[in-house]
Amino acid sequence: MRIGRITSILFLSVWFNQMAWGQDDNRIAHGKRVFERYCTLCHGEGLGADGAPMLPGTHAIYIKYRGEVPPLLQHRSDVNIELVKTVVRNGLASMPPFRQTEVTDSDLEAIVAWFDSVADE
Amino acid sequence: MAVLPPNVSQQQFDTAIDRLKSVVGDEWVFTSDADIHAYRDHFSYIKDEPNELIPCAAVGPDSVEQVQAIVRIANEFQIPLYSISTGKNFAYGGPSPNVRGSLTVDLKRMDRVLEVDDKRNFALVEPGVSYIDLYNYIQERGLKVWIDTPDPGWGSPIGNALDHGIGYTLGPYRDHFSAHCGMEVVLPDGEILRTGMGAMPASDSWQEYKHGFGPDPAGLFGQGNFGIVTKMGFRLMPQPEHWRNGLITVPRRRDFIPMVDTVNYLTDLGMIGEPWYSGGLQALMNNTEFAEAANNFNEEEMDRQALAAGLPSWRVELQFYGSEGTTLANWEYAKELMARNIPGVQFTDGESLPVPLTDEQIQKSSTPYESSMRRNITQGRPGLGIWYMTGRTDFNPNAWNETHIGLFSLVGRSGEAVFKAQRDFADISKRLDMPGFFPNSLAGPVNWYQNSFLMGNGFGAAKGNSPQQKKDATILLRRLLEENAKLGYGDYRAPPILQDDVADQYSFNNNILRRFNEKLKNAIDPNGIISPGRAGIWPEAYADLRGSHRED
Ligand SMILES: Cc1cc2nc3c(=O)[nH]c(=O)nc-3n(C[C@H](O)[C@H](O)[C@H](O)COP(=O)(O)OP(=O)(O)OC[C@H]3O[C@@H](n4cnc5c(N)ncnc54)[C@H](O)[C@@H]3O)c2cc1C
Ligand code: HEC
Repeated sequence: MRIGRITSILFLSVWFNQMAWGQDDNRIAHGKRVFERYCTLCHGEGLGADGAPMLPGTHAIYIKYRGEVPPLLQHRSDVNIELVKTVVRNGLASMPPFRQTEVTDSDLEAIVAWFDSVADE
Repeated sequence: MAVLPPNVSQQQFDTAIDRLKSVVGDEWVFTSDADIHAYRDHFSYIKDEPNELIPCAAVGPDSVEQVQAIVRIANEFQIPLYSISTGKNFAYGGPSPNVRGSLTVDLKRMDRVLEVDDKRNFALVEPGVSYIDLYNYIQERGLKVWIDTPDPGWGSPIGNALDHGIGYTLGPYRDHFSAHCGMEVVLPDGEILRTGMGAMPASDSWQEYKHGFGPDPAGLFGQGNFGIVTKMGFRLMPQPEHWRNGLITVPRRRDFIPMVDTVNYLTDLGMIGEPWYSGGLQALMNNTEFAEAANNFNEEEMDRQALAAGLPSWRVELQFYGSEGTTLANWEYAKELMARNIPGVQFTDGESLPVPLTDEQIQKSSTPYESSMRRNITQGRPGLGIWYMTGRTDFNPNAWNETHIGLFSLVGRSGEAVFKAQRDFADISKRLDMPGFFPNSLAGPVNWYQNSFLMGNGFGAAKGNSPQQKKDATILLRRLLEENAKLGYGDYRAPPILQDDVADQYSFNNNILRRFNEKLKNAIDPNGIISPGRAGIWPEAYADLRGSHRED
């Protein structure tokens, strides 16, 4: 009986843990998907148009910080949810804002979770 | 910043908002300044001014039924609506409405690709489907059709087509509105209309025959305010097996005339994709003697200097879609015709590549000759690389475009007409003290629309970012549009703050076109709730707002 209870508690906590892990994984994968749908064509890797050495978001960040931070958002340690929300909702310089119907606040949190998971690697 | 719709009280507005929430759910009605911010034009000429075109709220329906319900509520409360699909209409007002205080109907959540057929070559989509989304849908399923994308790929087939947008592959697909086939529209009274064969419930040809029977009202919904489009079909180009390009250069300025004639011939026989014209003498502008000649349209002197420098006066890059054999045959034929018509013409073979091109092939732009062609768009691959134009640069690391405005005028599709337009635009900009980016004598046309040329003008108006400087620039642009029209140059598209002015250009028979549209408007939309003022069409209910931007 006692043993049974302990096992079931153990079992439950393992199960909960797995669920949490699973949710995190889903959230990170969701964040990556949203980023790829809405952000990568400006903030990804690769050459830009008309001979530009980088894509426009990546390049603008590279120029702005003169190489002091990595130009890819997911490689930066200083990009948190506050910055992402502020920039995405208000726009910044040549980047126009995005609407809730495009990316919701929880999408933005998922994007940052993906950033964090990549930065950890 | 909160604004109310014109002539609507706070209490009525609050009731309407509650009703909207009951239709779409609380989370899809946006009223806070923070949420409304993204519905303003980030690049507006009147940002933060008292007349900035800000909506009172935005609503994001997820179904046609919800759109119908919104339209009925708008009628009941007399709230003007403004609908956007993806809302990326930058340079033409972004997502901002014509009337301050409109309720923006944001169709982005309706983002289903309903059908893509790669045997019959069409797609049927909802408004929120972007070019990027449609491209990905096609790729994920390995379908053998191409889309025709504008330069920035985050817009939508529906939003772009409804503003008469353009792309970069074969002629019939580049004109996005003409390439549509069949639409579904929620009318101002909330009824649903389907055009073309969509009017016949059991038809299998909605995306294949657009005329149906009798007058086709589809044109009313392009740059119009007669309904909210909820579905649209588009003809798609089958994926070709091979792509090839090549460069043609001519020595003398006047060689441009037979060059254009020959390209027109090839275009209208369906042998080439979009021709990319450019002047070949920009590099000589550092030479003061040449600059003087170019600024004064001294053709003999320009030719003399071009010859001395070994530079061509004009270039056109051609591209061919088909098989390796047919693209080669068409390129050879193009050379033969050009050589027959233009002494001294030269050719450089470009690349000859099986489709689809690899990423490396798409990104390579310099070989075997210096090319200005953005290859992804010639391959129907959406991107956002073009956005570099608006942002920081290595030369100017602390500056970006605070304002965007696109103004392109229709010019006859011939070398003579381009030369005339060059002089006319030079005269006008001199008179208005509005320098262009480079001398007009070197400016070439774009052949986005297969059967017409457009030439950009007015870009020299913006001279700084202070509110007064922006206001001055807008005043200048209005005068430019007026002067253009006197000489027969009409614009194809405009941001809301200039739509009345462009509509004024189309003045035949005492503006009968606008009077006709407004008669229809008042009959179909008696409360005037659908995008009042769009394209200069003002319903009676808001007629006092016509031209109201001019007074500012
Ligand atoms: C650097 C740069 C390059 C550009 N290059 C191109 C280019 O190559 N080709 C080109 O065409 N444009 C170009 N543009 C202009 C513009 O950005 C694009 O045309 C863009 O696709 C339009 O936005 P959208 O597709 O999101 O349409 P939306 O903003 O969704 O719609 C445009 C307008 O159409 C109407 N509308 C939209 N949906 C509906 C609906 N469902 N029912 C009724 N009315 C509706 C509304 O009035 C709306 O404002 C460029 C702009 C810039 C700044
Ligand atoms: C059209 C191109 C474009 C798209 C799409 C885009 N951005 Fe940007 N973004 C930029 C540019 C350009 C900058 C640099 C702004 C500047 O010059 O200060 C930028 C800056 C940023 C910054 C601030 C970096 C810094 O430290 O200044 C963040 C955060 C950001 N973007 C997040 C996003 C996210 C998240 C998305 C997708 C939802 C996105 N962006 C989509 C172009 C884009």
